[in-house]
Amino acid sequence: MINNKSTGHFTSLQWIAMVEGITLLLLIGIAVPLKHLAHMPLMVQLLGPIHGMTFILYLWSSVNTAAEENWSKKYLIKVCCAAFIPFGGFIVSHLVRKSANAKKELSI
Amino acid sequence: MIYSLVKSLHLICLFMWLSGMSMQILSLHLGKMLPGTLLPQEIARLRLLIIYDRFIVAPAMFMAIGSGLFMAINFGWFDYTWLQIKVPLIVILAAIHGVHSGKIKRMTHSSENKVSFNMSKACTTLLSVVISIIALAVFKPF
Repeated sequence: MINNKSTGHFTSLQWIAMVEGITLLLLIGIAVPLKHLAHMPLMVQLLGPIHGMTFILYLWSSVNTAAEENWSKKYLIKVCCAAFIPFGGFIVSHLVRKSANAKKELSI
Repeated sequence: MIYSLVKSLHLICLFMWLSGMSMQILSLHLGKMLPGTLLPQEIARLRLLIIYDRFIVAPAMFMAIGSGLFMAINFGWFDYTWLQIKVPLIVILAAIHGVHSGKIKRMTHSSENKVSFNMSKACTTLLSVVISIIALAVFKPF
């Protein structure tokens, strides 16, 4: 089922997925190696809560969009699992942008 | 002093979040009970609820989570098991809010007007999660 109204929720999810992807990459790419290799836990202490909040925001936004757009459970699980994979947020952001564009074209 | 202030903010936000969620459940139930397609007046009321959800309930939810995170970090609660159990419950509560919010939005602008919703299931889930969270936060058993 396709809605013919705004695509604002798609845009929000697209940005939130991007931010989630960036914080995850910073956390596992810079903060965690700094903590374990250089014994500098400050970055993990700073980025950990930020990533935690972004993760909850991403999850909330995903289920919100899924309920609004009537996504299948399988697709929603895939989107949620992407949050645990590096670069997963960027892939979701790209997919969501494609969906939003397709919806815009259909509503024209 | 900071603890009292943040805890007060946390509780105020939590009450606003939970009251908003209760209203979502009632609106979804009423939407399901009404016969036929929704009337323009009913859709207008649902849109008002969506605005309330966007500007009051959702920010209250994130402020409740943020203030909880602040207290957990500053008072070193992350080492305790009760908080490790509480965090997934909070995530579940946020997800339930997201689902209900999305369903209400779909009701206002889909051609179907009706969304799948089970009142007793939603109430049972909400109550059990909230009671577990409160019990864990008050008694801190582990």
